[in-house]
Amino acid sequence: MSSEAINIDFAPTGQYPPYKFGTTVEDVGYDVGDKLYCVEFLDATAVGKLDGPGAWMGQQLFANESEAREAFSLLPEFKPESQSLVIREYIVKQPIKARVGVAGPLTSPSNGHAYSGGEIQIQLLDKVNYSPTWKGYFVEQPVLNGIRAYVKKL
Amino acid sequence: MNLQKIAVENGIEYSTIEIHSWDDAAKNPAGYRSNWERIEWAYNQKKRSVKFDKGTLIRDVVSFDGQYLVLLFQENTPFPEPCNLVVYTLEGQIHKIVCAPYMVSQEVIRYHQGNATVQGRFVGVANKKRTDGTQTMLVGIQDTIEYDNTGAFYFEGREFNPEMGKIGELIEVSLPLR
Repeated sequence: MSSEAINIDFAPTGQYPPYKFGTTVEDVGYDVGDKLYCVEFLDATAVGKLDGPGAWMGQQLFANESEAREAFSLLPEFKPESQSLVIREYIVKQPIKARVGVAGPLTSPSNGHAYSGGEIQIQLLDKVNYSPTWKGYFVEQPVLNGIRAYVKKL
Repeated sequence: MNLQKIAVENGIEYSTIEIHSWDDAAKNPAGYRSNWERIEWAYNQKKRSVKFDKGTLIRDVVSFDGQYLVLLFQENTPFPEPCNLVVYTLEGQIHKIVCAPYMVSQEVIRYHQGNATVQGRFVGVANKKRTDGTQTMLVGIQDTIEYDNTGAFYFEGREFNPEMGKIGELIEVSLPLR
């Protein structure tokens, strides 16, 4: 599929086009034991949000927050810079489907910065990241003092 | 107040009080939210506890004045959505059962073509400092229609008074809709 065909689905709801124009997007399956990595809040619950995985993941551990934000065009509109971010590992325990493509460039309306994108991103399909459904698809991380275990702090 | 979450496996009780590291958490049934089925604490020299359907507690917060325990449940039989926020006294008695309100921000109402009766869903509760330094409690409320249709996450943070069980002023929104 072309990225244009996918991006156009996001337009009617006013969402940002997620995929880089001129690239292809592919639907794939992930099997038991596969590992995906999600850039998330250290503690979403501290700001009144739900503690669970996001719908967008990747395959790498970034060196720092700036690198992650640039690679995925992770705007402060999506993840405020005031909140600590971590990378959590999600190990698949029941096969899932996902859409894989290249993150497109986006410019933040709030800070004016043009994020380059360019990294491979994985969009979870079929609402497998919804709460509490996600615990049926991914190995649940242990919790210490209310924080789910993570593999890297950004 | 020291809150402990309890898991039971093969008739043996495990508590988060035994967990001091990620390694401890990984080895202890109480290290996993989906195993929790009771929360307990001490008050006036007595152990107090609230039992709930296993794995349904998603957030526990003591109000900033130390007078109430606020528990948020998900897929809990006695407290189904949208009335899944429960305020307890420190004795462990139910004080208020609170239902998620309609979404109130102008962005949501405009997004839904003027519909001001879009049912919200509780996604969190937390203590929060106001800009003037005073404390309040915040509840996070999600637009379920938008979330189910598009997967996008629109969030309203509103003040919450646990004593009255009342949801008040809109404090913040996130991921602005365009």
